[in-house]
Amino acid sequence: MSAILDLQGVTKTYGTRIKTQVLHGIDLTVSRGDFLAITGQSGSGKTTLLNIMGLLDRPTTGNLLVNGTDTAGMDDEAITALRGRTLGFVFQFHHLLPALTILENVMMPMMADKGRETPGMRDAATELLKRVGLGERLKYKPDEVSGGQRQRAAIARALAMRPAVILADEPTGNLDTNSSAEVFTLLREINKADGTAFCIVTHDAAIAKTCDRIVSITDGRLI
Amino acid sequence: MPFSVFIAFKYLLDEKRQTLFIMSACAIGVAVMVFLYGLISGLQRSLVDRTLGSQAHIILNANKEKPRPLAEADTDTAVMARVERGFDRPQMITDWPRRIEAVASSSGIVAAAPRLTGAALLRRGDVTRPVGVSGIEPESFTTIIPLAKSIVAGRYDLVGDEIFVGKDLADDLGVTVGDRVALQTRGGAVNFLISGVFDLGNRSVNENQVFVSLRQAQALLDAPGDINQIDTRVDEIFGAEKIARRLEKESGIETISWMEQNSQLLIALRSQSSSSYLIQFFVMVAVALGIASVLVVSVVQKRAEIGIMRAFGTKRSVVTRIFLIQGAVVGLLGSTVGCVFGTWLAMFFRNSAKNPDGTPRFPISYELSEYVVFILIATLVGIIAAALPARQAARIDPAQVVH
Ligand SMILES: Nc1ncnc2c1ncn2[C@@H]1O[C@H](COP(=O)(O)OP(=O)(O)OP(=O)(O)O)[C@@H](O)[C@H]1O
Ligand SMILES: [Mg+2]
Repeated sequence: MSAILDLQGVTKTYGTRIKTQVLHGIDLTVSRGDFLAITGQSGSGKTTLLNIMGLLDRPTTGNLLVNGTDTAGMDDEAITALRGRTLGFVFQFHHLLPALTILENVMMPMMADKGRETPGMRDAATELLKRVGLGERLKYKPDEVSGGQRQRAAIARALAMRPAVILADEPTGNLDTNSSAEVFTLLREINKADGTAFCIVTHDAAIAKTCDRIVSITDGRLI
Repeated sequence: MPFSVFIAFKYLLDEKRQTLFIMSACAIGVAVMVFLYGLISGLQRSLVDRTLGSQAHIILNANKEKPRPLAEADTDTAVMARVERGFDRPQMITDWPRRIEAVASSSGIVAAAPRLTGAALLRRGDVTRPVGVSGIEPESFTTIIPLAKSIVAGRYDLVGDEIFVGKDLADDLGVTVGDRVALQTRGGAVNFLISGVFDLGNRSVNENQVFVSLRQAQALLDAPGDINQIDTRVDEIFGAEKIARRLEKESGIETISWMEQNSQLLIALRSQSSSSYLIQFFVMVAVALGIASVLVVSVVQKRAEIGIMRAFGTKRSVVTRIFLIQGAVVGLLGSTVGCVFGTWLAMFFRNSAKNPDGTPRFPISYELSEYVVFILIATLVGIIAAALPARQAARIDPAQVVH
């Protein structure tokens, strides 16, 4: 199976004056259907790694191939388009746009891609929201629903462009145990049904155990 | 609707109070601009109208022939010459009907009329006043200077020995329509019958000018068949000076425009205009700073949201546009309200400053095209004001702001 994301000897060094090397030669591939947990202590470089995998940040050295194509030579506009179409994100905080309704939030990535609302978008977003159990909350603003619902809306948004990979940085970090479990079940369902690959950063060992693969990061190295 | 417009409107509507705040700033700024513009241009129009009410736009005057050196300097020859002014021998415009026709058909000129001017003593009983005598053809003259409209007593007609005197002169001498006065020159005295009293809105003219028919003036001033002045009216008053220079070259007669005659007034008008532009400019700078600072804060508040939009495939250029559009919308809507408010202010001011007869002291009126210009300027100011925040927003790096 060909890799969607292929990290080859990725390093990341922050800072220009005081240099901090956060990642040391990471090799990692993510393929269709993967359900991957990334664990590690605070400050070990999980978010940094996820940002690079998510094309939000560039490696200092090493390569990132997306569907076999090296991203090093791409300009910002190409990277943005590739990111929008290939990757979805769920963060610890939902980061829904408060000015938009739940439905509009889910349509946002589609509109950003096409530059405007096109026919079918509304229905597609509605479908996604029904799937995460928010079919009744389409017209609500993010601050009018519960924390768990917000995070599920954020998951629907991550699914909007039918991405090959969803990167989730502590997606349940802000949720209570119940909501947390619900959200995880949802991610797992999506993974099984659509073959969407997931890379999930988590501190929860129990949750990590349910994943197909676990990579642990210590001082910027995978073990 | 483009995505950028969609988000821009969502932001403006979401932060209603903030939007209202910067739109009001813009509206007030534009209202000041509209008000000031209306006031200054109304004032200037009334000043110019008043000046031109008793003056021809351009005068071709044979008497004021410029002294010329006998030899002209050119590139090879320098001429040292003292130019002597000749003695004041009255000069006449010869072959004037043909010349008037030529002047009248010259481009930019809408009308031309003959005039013979001279000096005389006006006598009524044993009181005399020195006056300027103008011989005119009433029909053609009133197309240059609205004398017909300025007749306050009597009628606008000069038949035989009839004469028009100014209101102030008439008051001074205690004469009115139907009275007789005499005009005395070196050649003797001639009696005239007052057929009209005029008020050209200019005291010096009302006091010192009398009008008789051209034929009577020619007899009185001993210039049979001649005139010494052609008065003209132009289509664009502020183009008068340029036309005057051209006419002078074409006709060889000394030509003077109202602009040259009123250069002090024009300097005053010009500096008034530039100070009003300066005020308007700084008002708009203040408005721009207001809009910019609110948008800068808004960008800072929305860092994470912008980061999210970027993460989900929104291009930098679209982020830039989201904020430029907000600036433009604020400028557009704010200035529209400002135009209404400014006009209302100006009208209120106009109606509170009235002449004794109840007419407004100065005319204030606006053209649609002027509003369009104000709205365009304000919209542009809004966009410029949004440029810095928009740049800031586009620079946001999603990896730094989203966790
Ligand atoms: N923008 C940055 N500039 C400099 N150093 C940074 C920057 N971002 C992260 N770091 C450093 O890189 C290291 C790894 O950070 P990272 O956020 O990847 O850790 P993490 O594993 O996600 O931690 P946590 O579990 O607390 O979220 C930390 O030591 C952090 O101080
Ligand atoms: Mg982290």
